[in-house]
Amino acid sequence: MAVETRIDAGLPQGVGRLSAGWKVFILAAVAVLGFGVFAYWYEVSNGMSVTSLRSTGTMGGATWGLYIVMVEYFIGVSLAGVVIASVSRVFRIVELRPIVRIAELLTVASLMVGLIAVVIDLGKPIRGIKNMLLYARPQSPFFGTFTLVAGGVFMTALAYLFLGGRRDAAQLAEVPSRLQRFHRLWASGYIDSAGQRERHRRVMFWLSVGIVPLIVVALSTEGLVFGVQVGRPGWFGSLQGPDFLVLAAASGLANLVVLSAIVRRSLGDWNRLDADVFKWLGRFLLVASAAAIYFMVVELFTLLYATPSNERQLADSLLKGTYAWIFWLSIGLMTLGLALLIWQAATAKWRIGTLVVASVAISTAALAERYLTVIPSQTHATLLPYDTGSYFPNWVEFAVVAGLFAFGALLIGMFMKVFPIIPIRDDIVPIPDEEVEATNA
Amino acid sequence: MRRTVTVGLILNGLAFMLIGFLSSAPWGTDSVSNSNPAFAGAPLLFLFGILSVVSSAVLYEVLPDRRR
Repeated sequence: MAVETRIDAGLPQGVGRLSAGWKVFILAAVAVLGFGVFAYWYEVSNGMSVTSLRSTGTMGGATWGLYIVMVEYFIGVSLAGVVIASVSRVFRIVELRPIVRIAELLTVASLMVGLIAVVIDLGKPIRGIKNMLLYARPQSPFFGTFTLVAGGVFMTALAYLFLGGRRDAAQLAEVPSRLQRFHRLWASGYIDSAGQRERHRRVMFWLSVGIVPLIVVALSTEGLVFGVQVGRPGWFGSLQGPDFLVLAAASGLANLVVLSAIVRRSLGDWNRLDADVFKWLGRFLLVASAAAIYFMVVELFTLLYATPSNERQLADSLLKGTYAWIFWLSIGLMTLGLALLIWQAATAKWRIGTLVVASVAISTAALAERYLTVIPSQTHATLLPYDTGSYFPNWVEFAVVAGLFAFGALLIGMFMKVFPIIPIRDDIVPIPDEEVEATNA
Repeated sequence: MRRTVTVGLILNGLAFMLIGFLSSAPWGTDSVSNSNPAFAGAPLLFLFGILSVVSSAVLYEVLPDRRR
């Protein structure tokens, strides 16, 4: 018999009910997070020399390692969630409405984890943050990371999640439970009048319209962090910005598919999260992953075609050298994912299991691609006469990154127990304004 | 009231963003020694401006209706 702690039976989607499976998941996530925190404490106590990170050139290593790879990956993942939520609202795609909150939550969680990864990469995090706020320069793409991404996109995504949930919170606040005060606070006076609905529609529309260009500019700065560096073969180039966006869209959509499938299975909500939702996500993912492969081919072709010797050396390390296994794994997984999507589109039969397999393949390929963007240009083919270096993360970095994943999973898992992750009340008639005014009088 | 607060916050935010951006960038000089912001904390003003604009959307929706 399943052991279940019942806080309140009246709340939907298992909110407030802690099942045995959920408790096991939380314990496992806390254990991994704890190990990650221990590894970070070990790193802070003993210095970054306990990681595999070393100076480029003189020490033959990489100063930007797995942490920066994860920054790029997580911030990239955040793109799809908020864009899908915006597209669904602006173009009124009703099939996507059930996953709007999952998408917003994915954006918030992945941005939080990505921004924490930036801080973890700093040897002296407090000093780094303080100096960033005091002396950052707009000429540096990192200025965009810390202002547009950390301030703009993150706060807008939070506002999106908060405002989009007020109506549901107002309904939940009427149910007596231990979470009632929290739901009342979230509802913040929402009574579902016609006027409030109209204001909500207006605000969400303009937030949707505003956040897409904001996130495009903000996330382009992530690509520009590499694209504006002339001194590193493989980094400098105008394609880094758009390439970052395209791969971000593919990895974000892939993660959204997987998360939606997990939610569908854990809630047993086969009706709201039906095949139509996944069909839409699959089509978007097909376009994004096809574009990602196109960019991979174009970049590789440019790298191989009559390039300076350093660029050629870098290409060799990718194609048949140290990084070849990661490169070919990335190409293989991306091709596999794309082939599965094309097959489903061609047969017009979208199976959720197949879509999840394709998504996992594409997400892993995107992670490998981020690794190949960040690392090889630091260890190979430097313009100064240094020997070829090497870098592979050690247990400290792997543990910290596992802790980051666990933290993100915990955020989403905890959220699901305090608030419905699938929006409720789509078809309730609002209270007329006259009635609200009569009540207020 | 609602509209005034919202428009005020947006304008306030845009002003802070502009001042913060222009003060952070060492405009008008190529000298490396002058690469610091015009004053310490100028980037914080830019960030504050962004937060002000975002919060305008939240306040527009959350502010209660006027009682009659």
